[in-house]
Amino acid sequence: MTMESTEAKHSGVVHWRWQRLSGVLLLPVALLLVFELAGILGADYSIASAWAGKPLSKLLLLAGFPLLYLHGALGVQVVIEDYVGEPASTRLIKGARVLAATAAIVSVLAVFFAGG
Amino acid sequence: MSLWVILLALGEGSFSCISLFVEHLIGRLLLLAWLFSLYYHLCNGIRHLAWDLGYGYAIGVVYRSGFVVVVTALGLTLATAFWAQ
Repeated sequence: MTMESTEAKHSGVVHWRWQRLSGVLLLPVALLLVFELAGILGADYSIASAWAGKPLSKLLLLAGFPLLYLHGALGVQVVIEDYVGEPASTRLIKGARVLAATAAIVSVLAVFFAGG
Repeated sequence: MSLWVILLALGEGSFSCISLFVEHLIGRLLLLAWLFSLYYHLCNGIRHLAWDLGYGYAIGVVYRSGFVVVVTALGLTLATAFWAQ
C-alpha cells in the first residue's frame, strides 16, 4: 500500500467529519444571518453600517464566513471528485481551496472594517 | 454576502452600488432564487443528517421526506420574502 492511498483513505473520514460539523454549525448561523439581513433589505449605508456594528452581527459574520467557505470548498471538492478525472481533479481541488480561503480571509477582514 | 460586507467596509460610495442590484426587479428575483436554493440545501442537509443517524431509510419515508423538504423550503422562502417587504 502506498502512502497516497493511506492518506486518501484517511482524508475521506476527515472530509466527512468537517462537512457535517460545518453543516450543523451553519444551521443556526445561516438562518440567523438570513433573518437579520432580510430585516434590513435595501438598507442604505448608515443603516447597514449600524447593523454591521452590532456585536451579534459581527459574531454571525465572523463565524459565518469561515464556516461558509469551508463548507463550500468541501462541497465543491465532492463535485470535482465525482465529475473530473484523476490528474486534473487534484489541481482543481487545490485551486478551489485557495479561492475559498482567500474569499474567507478577505471577508473576515472586511467585517472588522465595516460598521466601525 | 462577501461583496456586501466588502463594499460596506470600503465606504458609502462603494456601498451605494448595492442598491442598484437590490432595488432592481432582476436583482430581487435572483435574491429570491438564492434564498430558495439556500433553504432547500439547508432542509435537505437536515434530511442527510437524519440518514447519517440511521433514520428515515424506509422507501416510503424517503419519498415523503423529499416532498417535505421542497414544500418547507418553498414555505420558508415565501415567509422570508413577505417578512422582508
